[in-house]
Amino acid sequence: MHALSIPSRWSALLLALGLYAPADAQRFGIDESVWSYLAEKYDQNKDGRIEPAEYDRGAEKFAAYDRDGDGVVSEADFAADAAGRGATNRRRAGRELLGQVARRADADRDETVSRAEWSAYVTGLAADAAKGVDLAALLPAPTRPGRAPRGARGPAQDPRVLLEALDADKDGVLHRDELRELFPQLDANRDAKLAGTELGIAPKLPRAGDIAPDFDLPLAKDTTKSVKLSGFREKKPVALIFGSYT
Amino acid sequence: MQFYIVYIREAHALDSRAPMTFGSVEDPIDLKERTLVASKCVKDLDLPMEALVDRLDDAVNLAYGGWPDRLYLVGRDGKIAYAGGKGPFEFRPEELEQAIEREMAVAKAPVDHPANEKKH
Repeated sequence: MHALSIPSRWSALLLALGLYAPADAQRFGIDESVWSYLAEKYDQNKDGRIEPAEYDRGAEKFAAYDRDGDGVVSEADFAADAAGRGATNRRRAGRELLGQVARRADADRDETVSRAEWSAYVTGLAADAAKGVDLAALLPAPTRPGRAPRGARGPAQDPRVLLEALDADKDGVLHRDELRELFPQLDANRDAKLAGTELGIAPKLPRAGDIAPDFDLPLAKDTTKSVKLSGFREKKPVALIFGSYT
Repeated sequence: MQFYIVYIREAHALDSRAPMTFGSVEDPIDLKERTLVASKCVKDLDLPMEALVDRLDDAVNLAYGGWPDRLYLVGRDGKIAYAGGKGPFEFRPEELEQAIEREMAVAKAPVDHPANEKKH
């Protein structure tokens, strides 16, 4: 089948990879199943509520489960109509969208946004400080004429997501001063400019011909031993299969 | 030829934004937990290669864009010989196999090829 003789064990390995790629998620009944799992594992006194003291994997993860924000994790947090879940999803989508919103201020297209660019952009959107900003004008432009950007049908393109993320005084209107605050919010490294992941720009990945980023990682079967990628240079090619169980 | 799984952050942990109950895995909070899940994965799926475990800072995952899954081939020269697309839809083992064939063809270059001469 192949012009070169490839040992059959490689074909078997690669077939295994095909089986290893995650299947499409089955979403129906997921919330029920997640609650059952959590209740079984954490609800020690079986009162139908998981208190913070019963959960030992950190406050952030607990808060992620506690969608209705009542301080406990219960079946109510997994209700199909959970407005809490909708709000959580919108908050997450809002954080993703904010970087894209900030990128619209990149006037010189150098993939960074300086304070000056941001100030000019915000002033241009709303010259009158008292007047609200047009939320639709903040959304990322479509990548092709007539075609909505990826995710347009989801919460990520909903202008209300922006309001929820930026409307500090919760008056239902996004004012210029509130929008200005987006810059310090995104400037995680405090270098007075927005760049890279601060703008939601994914890091450049290695391409064919690039030097492979080196690493030194522990073996799963014995974490006292590690493998350094560069140790294979001039010896063997190395196939890397990135993935996880779920 | 060397194969490694690089075991990274879960794609569908129960406490992720896209939970799946397959495996019922909560997002590991330390290397020991991630190693346990990696070992279970290799055993349950009967995978025939070694797994390396990315640390909790996800450094190698981020450097290679491995999440949720991706294939690479690093050539004998230490350069990327094949960089696969983002899984699941662009996770294509057949492309990796073709890349391996090309890499092995280079390895079988004649002995008197200038590239194979040893430096004195």
